[in-house]
Amino acid sequence: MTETEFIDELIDILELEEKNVMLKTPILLDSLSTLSIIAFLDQNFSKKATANELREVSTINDILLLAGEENIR
Amino acid sequence: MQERLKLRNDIGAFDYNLGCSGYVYGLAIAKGLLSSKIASNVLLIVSETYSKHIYKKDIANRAIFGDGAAATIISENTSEEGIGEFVLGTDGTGKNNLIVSHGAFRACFDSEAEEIEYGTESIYTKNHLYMNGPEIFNFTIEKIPPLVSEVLEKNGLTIEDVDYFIFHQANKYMLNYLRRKVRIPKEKFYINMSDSGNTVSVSIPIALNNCIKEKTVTKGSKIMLVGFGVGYSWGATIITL
Repeated sequence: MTETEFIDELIDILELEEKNVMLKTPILLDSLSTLSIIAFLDQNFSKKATANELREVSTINDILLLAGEENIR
Repeated sequence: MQERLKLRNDIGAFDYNLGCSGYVYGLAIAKGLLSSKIASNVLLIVSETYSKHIYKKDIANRAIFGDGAAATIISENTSEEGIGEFVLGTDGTGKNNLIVSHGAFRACFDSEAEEIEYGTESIYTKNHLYMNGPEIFNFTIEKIPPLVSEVLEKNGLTIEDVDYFIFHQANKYMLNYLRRKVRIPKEKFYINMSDSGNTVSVSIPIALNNCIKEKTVTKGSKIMLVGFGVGYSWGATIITL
């Protein structure tokens, strides 16, 4: 997955309305979006994110790190 | 129950305590009692009043859980033909992710228990139910797909051979994700908790009853039942109506 595709997926999942979403764009996960991110990471990267890791997420880049930088082109 | 149902005195009765996998475990116990000739008919009752466990300010869990009860009679003939092979499992490392910490024998009810914030604006106390939703979701993603494969293999069946799938009605998002991950066709997969919410061990028999009433399943249908939750605990079997 490219970085642009990754960001586009997260715009869709998190229903972000801001323009020019970037890796450093701040995000806030509620309970449903937390489940969506768990499913996204499992489905696309076979990665598991713990509740504690997800609680620390504050930007798009934090999710990219959970997906694994090696998995993003 | 024996007194209220006016049952004979020579009928054994006992309680067992389990959560969302409780119905599948109940069927396993019933099958054991029948196949060992200890009993010729078993009345399996599952009943939940989780509303009593949920703190009034716990808006997340209040929106998820519902109370309910179900009774199933399983008789000698059904054990031979109707209830297939089981796969059961347990992982106690997940115990703290779905728990009422206080109120039993080890940690008594704490009348001065503090309010604890968690999730999205929800509050509980240690006398009440706590559920770590993300970790429960992780548990189901990890355990349920292999559980489905194992119970199919143990019963000598494939996904195509099974007419209908009834999973514990945990929440719609989780069930949809599991269905896609296991590759079960949408039309063979039950999702409906709009009337009752997540009724813990009762969700599977409520679903089964709805399916029979709606004629989604009929005599001879092969139905996979999958329960999972507190413990962690999980179990699956395939029944034939």
